[in-house]
Amino acid sequence: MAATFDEIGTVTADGTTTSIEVTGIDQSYDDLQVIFEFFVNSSSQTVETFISVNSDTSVSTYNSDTMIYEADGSYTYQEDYNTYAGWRMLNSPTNGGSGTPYYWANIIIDMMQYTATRSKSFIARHCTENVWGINGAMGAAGLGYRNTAAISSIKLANAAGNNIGSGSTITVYGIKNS
Amino acid sequence: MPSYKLVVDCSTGETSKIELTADEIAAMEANAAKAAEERAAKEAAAEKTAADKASGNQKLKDLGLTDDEIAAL
Repeated sequence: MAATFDEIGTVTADGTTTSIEVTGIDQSYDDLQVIFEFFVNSSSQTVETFISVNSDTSVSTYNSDTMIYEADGSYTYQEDYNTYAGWRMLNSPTNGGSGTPYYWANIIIDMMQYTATRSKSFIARHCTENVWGINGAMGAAGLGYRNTAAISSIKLANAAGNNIGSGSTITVYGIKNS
Repeated sequence: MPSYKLVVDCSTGETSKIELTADEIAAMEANAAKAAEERAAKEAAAEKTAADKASGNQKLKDLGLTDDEIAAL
């Protein structure tokens, strides 16, 4: 049987909510690939966004190690351990306060064995290229989820209460091995 | 002003705009406060490093080293 790569669902922000979320994720696949394309309505140059799962708001379940190369040529290594309710996405681009920005965040998270009944580890690749030269960043992160529950929902939120930009999306693909 | 999330249920295709729960709001606020605290600490550390570097360079120049010699250290 050939392997399959199916779109399970997608949510598109309308610009009036601080979070966007996909729920009811089909549990019959082997792995998920989740693609985030977004920006935040904010006058700040960049903001931090958070990705959480399963409506889990505890800090003890989310861990991450992030390495990014920033536009000023510096490297940032960041470990978040039992610190945030969600995985922190550094240097998420904004629209500067209005309109649609040229640069969006592009983040892909591979959620292998997302239904496993053990702690899980995922891989994030991101290019949160703002106006290159102003806090742009590209890199990768390892994401730990210390919970035995299968992943059934995924949410993107801006902690500062700004809305997720109109047209931003989360798209979830299910991968079934052959 | 209440905050909302836009939710798509993949199993039904239904889209809903739902007000955030108290737990979600508390988590967002805690995340924002912690992130601001970390950002401030990082900026302060970067400022101190820059100041230390400038001070150190000046001391080396006072000893007679050139910019090229300092860069080569």
